[in-house]
Amino acid sequence: MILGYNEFVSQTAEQIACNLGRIVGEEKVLHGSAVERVYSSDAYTVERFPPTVVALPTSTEDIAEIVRFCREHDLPFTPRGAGTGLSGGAMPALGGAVISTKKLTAILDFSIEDQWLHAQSGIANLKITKKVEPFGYHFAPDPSSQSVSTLGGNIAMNSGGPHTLKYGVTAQHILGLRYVNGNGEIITIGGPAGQQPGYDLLSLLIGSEGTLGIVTEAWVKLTKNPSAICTASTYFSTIEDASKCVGAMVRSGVMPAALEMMDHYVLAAVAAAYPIHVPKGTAAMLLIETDGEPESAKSDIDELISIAEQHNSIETALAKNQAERTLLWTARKKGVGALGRLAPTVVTHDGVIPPSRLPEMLEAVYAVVQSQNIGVANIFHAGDGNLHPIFYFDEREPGAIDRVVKAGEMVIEKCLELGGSVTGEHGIGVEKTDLLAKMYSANSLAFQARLRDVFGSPQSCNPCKVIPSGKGCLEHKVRWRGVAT
Amino acid sequence: MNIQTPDNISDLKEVCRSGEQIRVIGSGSALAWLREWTGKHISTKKLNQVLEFRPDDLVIRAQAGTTIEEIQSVAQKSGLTLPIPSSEFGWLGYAGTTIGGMLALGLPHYWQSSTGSIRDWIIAARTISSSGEELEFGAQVVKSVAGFDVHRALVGSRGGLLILAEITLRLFPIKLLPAPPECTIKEPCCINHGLRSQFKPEWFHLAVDASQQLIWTEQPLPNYHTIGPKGERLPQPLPQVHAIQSQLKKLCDPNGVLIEGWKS
Repeated sequence: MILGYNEFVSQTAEQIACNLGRIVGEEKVLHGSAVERVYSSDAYTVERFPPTVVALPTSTEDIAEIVRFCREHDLPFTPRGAGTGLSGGAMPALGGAVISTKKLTAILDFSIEDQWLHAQSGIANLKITKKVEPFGYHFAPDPSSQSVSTLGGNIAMNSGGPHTLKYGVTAQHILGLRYVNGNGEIITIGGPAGQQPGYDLLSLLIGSEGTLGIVTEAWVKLTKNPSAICTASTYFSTIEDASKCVGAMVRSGVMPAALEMMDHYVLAAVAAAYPIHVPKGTAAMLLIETDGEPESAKSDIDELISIAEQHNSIETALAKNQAERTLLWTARKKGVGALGRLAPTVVTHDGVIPPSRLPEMLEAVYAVVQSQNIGVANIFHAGDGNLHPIFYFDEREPGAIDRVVKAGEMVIEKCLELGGSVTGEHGIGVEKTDLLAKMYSANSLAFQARLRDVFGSPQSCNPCKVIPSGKGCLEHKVRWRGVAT
Repeated sequence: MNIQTPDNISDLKEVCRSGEQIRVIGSGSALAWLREWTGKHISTKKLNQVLEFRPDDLVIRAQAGTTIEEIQSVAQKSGLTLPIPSSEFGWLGYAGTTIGGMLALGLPHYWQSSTGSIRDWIIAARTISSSGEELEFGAQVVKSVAGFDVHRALVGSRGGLLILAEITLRLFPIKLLPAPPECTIKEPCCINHGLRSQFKPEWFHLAVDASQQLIWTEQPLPNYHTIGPKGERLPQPLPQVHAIQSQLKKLCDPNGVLIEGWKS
């Protein structure tokens, strides 16, 4: 039996914490009401459930011990990085143990000559780049949360970011993994020279959202910094002009390093928080960046600016120096946070469409929120069609959460209607488990669910995520929503 | 050689349902790489239609038996390409003739360090299991993290897991292609991953470019190895990893119908 129900486990939480503490050290185990609240959700706050205990291991071996303890005591366990996930992937759906990697922050080794770095999985994404920056290299995946989100979290969700368009998602930058499987065994796949011969297991582990095991270390590829970067902001008086411009840029033959869009709702919030200039009458801004050799980066940005002008841009500004570039990117990456000025609660959605369908999609997003009487701001990776409608609302208002959930489903339905995907980078988590069935046949989903067996991962390893199975998940689903207070 | 060539996917499913052991090939151009097999071969070369081309979204979808040349020809009309050197560069370019064959082999190419491995360019696949069941993975857009990336895991599986029937690829602007290789390797060769600092040209007859994290050789090597950080050849996968790979094979092909195998 899995000790999942909180009222049952609450009687034994102290005992569980005490027993686990004896194995890994009592300073590494937390429990109690404050812990329950903090770790009851990740950044997807719509669904919550309190853990019984939280473990803060400091090594791969610690994690193996904790997993073995959980298996022995039939306790569900949920891996967690920084908790910045946006689909509930780190929510302890059945209670049990949250295994946080936040103390696994060491860089173990690196080679500039061979362009790899070996680190523990709890290291913040940006710290990898900071380590190799003096040598002229960086870690290419750059989710907006990169200053805090962990390498392990990025691997679990196969995170993207603004520069995905040119440099690819996390999967393209992982050479090897060390992980703890659902039986508490430590397994290493690949390493500095990449995978060993045989079937590719890394592709299955990366993006598995912690359901196939807990990644504790990774070897990552380092990417050489470009010689030159050109960054520009270009403004449009209509959403339609901006979104049509995106399509034209994608098909232009120039590969922007980034092509981001922010609508006027986001810009208003960002402009209140950061000293950025937004021309009067702006409906949307495109943040465009090219890189490479100085000559090609400049000619590429000139070509993209010319395309913007052909699409009626009202103003374009080329960042003149690093400070201006940093300001633009800070505004972009902190844009979601700035939306806290609009309402007490924001929920960021994630879906993908073919970039050519952007005008139609954005029109649909604005219509959906109007029908559900909530606010929306759009800030997203336009170049690869990865939308992030951000719903802002007051969760204390009766019915608000239901309307937000409904609006999210309507937006994702539209993504699918246009030939897209239910998620581009935030993952399935608990948020989109039902929607996955709209993308894949029952056969395909059943096949994917059985990958747990391939990796020896029990249902208690991050239960109820991606492809849930088991009665416990259905019974618990009703408990997750509205736990927020 | 006993080669059957289904005209359509329904026929391919029927062949699978027979339960007879088969080896799936594209055009057969890479048979020299595979260990000998005298049983039935299934060629996908009649499944050769480009099904959808959306240049505005950088996406092309084609049947697995479509030749790479055909895909490149269609894409190039819109200034796009698969970023792999052409076959004129022999094995520095793509290995295989059909797109399905190239992905099943999963070999590196000369531009890999700058444009990525071919695994990075497959975004979705429609597959047929050894029991004739249809399974689809990935999405028809350039970015998606919905479900597990089984389509990526099939790259390099040499037809031993699931049969690729349709493939969706992301495309790349032609004008951003790196400089072409300066030489060719016309004969089949073994290709290894390696590390730049441990690169030792004397190990092999022909080392093309030490700056790439790849080594090409016309000297056949005993196995498809990875070179370790100290320059040693790593053994076959660790037993724990091999056990997981065996489980994956069992999930995909429980009755061992699909024959693969590297020539040793």
